[in-house]
Amino acid sequence: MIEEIFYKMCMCRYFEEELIKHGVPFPTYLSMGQEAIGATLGVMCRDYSKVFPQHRANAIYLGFGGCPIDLKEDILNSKGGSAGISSDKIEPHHGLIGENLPVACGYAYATRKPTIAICGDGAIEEDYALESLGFASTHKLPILFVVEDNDLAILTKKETRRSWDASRVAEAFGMTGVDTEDDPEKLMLILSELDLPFFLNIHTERHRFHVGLGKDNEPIQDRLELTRELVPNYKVIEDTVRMNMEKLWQH
Amino acid sequence: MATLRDTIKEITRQHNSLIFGQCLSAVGWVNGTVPDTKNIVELPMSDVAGAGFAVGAAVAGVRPILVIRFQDFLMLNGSILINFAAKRKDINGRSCPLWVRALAQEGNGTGCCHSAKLHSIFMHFPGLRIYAPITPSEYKECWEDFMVHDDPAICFEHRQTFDNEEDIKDIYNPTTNFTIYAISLARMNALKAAKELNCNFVNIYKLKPIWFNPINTKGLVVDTGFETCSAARDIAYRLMLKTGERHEALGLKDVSCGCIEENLTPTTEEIIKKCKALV
Repeated sequence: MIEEIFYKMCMCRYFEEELIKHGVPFPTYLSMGQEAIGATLGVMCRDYSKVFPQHRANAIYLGFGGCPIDLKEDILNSKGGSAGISSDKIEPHHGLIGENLPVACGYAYATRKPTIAICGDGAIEEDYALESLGFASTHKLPILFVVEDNDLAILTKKETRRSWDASRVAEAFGMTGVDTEDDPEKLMLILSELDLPFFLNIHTERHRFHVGLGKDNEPIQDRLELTRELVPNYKVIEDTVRMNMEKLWQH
Repeated sequence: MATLRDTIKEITRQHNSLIFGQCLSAVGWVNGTVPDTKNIVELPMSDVAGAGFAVGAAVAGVRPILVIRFQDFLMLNGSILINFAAKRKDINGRSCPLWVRALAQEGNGTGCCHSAKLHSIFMHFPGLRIYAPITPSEYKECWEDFMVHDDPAICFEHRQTFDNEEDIKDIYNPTTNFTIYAISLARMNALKAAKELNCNFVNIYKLKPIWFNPINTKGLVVDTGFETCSAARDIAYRLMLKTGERHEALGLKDVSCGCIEENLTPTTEEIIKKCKALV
């Protein structure tokens, strides 16, 4: 299982590295640094009915089996990339952070099928988010809330914006709330024993701009690099994916 | 004979899908328009996310009904309707059909934040169907229109029309050179004015896509909402382009309703006065 997660992490990493090399005609959102979340969810929650991510969703899209060719075409044709691309499993995001959370709750209510709502540590501060936690808890919805917590809303740190922890707020609403790192092994353990509704705040690190291809700072750590230690044949996987992504972007 | 109230209740009961709203089963079941069924989803007092729960059910394909007890509350609920439901087809080619019932009320101490009539604002945005029926047959027609299309729809209802039983037909008088067009509750007073002036009268209840019978005369379009940037002014402009004849609009003054003054839907006398000034 960890091999598959690593494979998906590599797919997103090298897709985006090629994207940076080739450039894009307009600002786009990259998952670089945060790939472990989409990759692990894609493996551990592959049977979930629907995923409602936000704008930084290349890793989510590819993690849940999205086609990299379609993603490339979508980005190059200025349709918004992972912000707007969809698959049977993925509901594209329209651009207003947090609004996807009540929509995901409504979907989970109507279908009673396992659903994932994903947002960032900024979006979880939106009014929509707090009301959604309450609705999910009240109706015991089969929904997993995931916060990709990179500590930044654009460039404003969390400690500047708020004094509270989102997972504690989720617990106050009556569901289990957990804080963890984006370590795939830790995530696998948590995701294998979920009692929905469940709130998962995942600390991660964004390697690139809020929007665009550049860097704000050099990353403190690289989760992809750390994950190599968990995968005995990582080199074969990584080289194969890198080669495939180079080919994909050559055409 | 069934009233508009009975019709709404029966359509909702027969549709047999989820009905979202706040306090639906309290204080008279929204003026007797909501049936007592197991499908009711009592929403928390969450006007920011509330519509989103119904929109999510629409994504699941169940064509839910969302009841907004006062149109004022559409301002907060509107974001998800405008930005998600109405745009979903443009974003990914998949529709998001839900039926939003938005109720209006006015006068008798309704107050400044429960008196809104907001059809004009919502006509502005692409991707929404906008209706304002005030008779049972019109309501059925609008509902059927919603059911054969896959767009999100907002039905702007007015509580003071819920007792209506009979159809209101257009009046065509070949000897007159004047037509009154009217929207929602304004149609009640406008009809009286048209009868007194012996002029043409045209009902408008499908606001977007707009559908009514224009007549090649001068005219006045009467609205139950504020006149500034209103549906009435938009329609008057279109009629001027189409007929080459002068048209004007009449709606509520640019003053908050239910505060310093009630600022109600134009009266029959006000409509007649405006028509005479135009003629």
